[in-house]
Amino acid sequence: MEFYFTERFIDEFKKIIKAKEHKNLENCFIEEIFKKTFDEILKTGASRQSGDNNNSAYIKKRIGKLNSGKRGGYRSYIMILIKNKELYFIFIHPKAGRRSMVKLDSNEEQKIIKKFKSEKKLKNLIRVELLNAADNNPDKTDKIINSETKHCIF
Amino acid sequence: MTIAITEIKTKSDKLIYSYKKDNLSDDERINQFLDKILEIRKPLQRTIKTINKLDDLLLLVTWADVKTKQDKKDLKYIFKTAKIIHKKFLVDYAFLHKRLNKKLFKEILFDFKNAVDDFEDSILEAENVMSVVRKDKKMMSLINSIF
Repeated sequence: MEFYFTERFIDEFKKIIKAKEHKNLENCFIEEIFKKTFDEILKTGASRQSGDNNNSAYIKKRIGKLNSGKRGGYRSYIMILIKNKELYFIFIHPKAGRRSMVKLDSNEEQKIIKKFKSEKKLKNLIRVELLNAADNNPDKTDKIINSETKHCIF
Repeated sequence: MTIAITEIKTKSDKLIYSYKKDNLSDDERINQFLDKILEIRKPLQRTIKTINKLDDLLLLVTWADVKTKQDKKDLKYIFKTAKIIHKKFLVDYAFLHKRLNKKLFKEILFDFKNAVDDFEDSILEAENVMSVVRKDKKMMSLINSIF
């Protein structure tokens, strides 16, 4: 499985985790994405917005808060290349608290998808991976890192 | 990943049936449960699991394609029964919240409410996808042009 973030996704993520109530977002995200199988990601809390099941799809995935339900958690917007098991994260927002929204406005959503399309063409996407707490990680916590530079994303 | 609407319908019915068998509104049963905390928690945990399974099943609807008249009919049925059972879950939650000791059952009541809220969210999400998003041709062609 391969994970990619857009610049917009990283920007939003960074803005969200500034709020005290969302400081655990990276952990929640790791638990629900990086520590799950491809099928688990698709089959739990994920709705296919459009696309097809065998090639590529655009999905909305719920990210639950740790020790809480998914409703008050987060919504991530992901493009998936199913045959290659590639996941492209294009946007995220909380459902409650600071920077929350019920759903992404459809005009804004189209803008974000178009931006993703051009970034993908230009190969401007950031490939990321998980650095486990056990793998010589000085922070002693799981972290999402840039696959190329090995620097922490958040 | 492919899944047929009828398969979702059957699974959804089975879960709803198993939930109904464990009907938690039964006053007499709840009174007995109050004497034995552990015995109260077990069916509640079972119900939460059922709600969570129904929740996941409902979102799986968005991974299916509506091809036939029967699919449309089944889809309508799934949403209809989901809304009815959601109301029942809410009534059960209100009943339990009123009757159970808040300190002793704080955690399980919290989990129950979260599961019910998530389920409601899934009903709205799946219904929106199937009836609004899938009809947005502009969006569909944009998505199809990406990969």
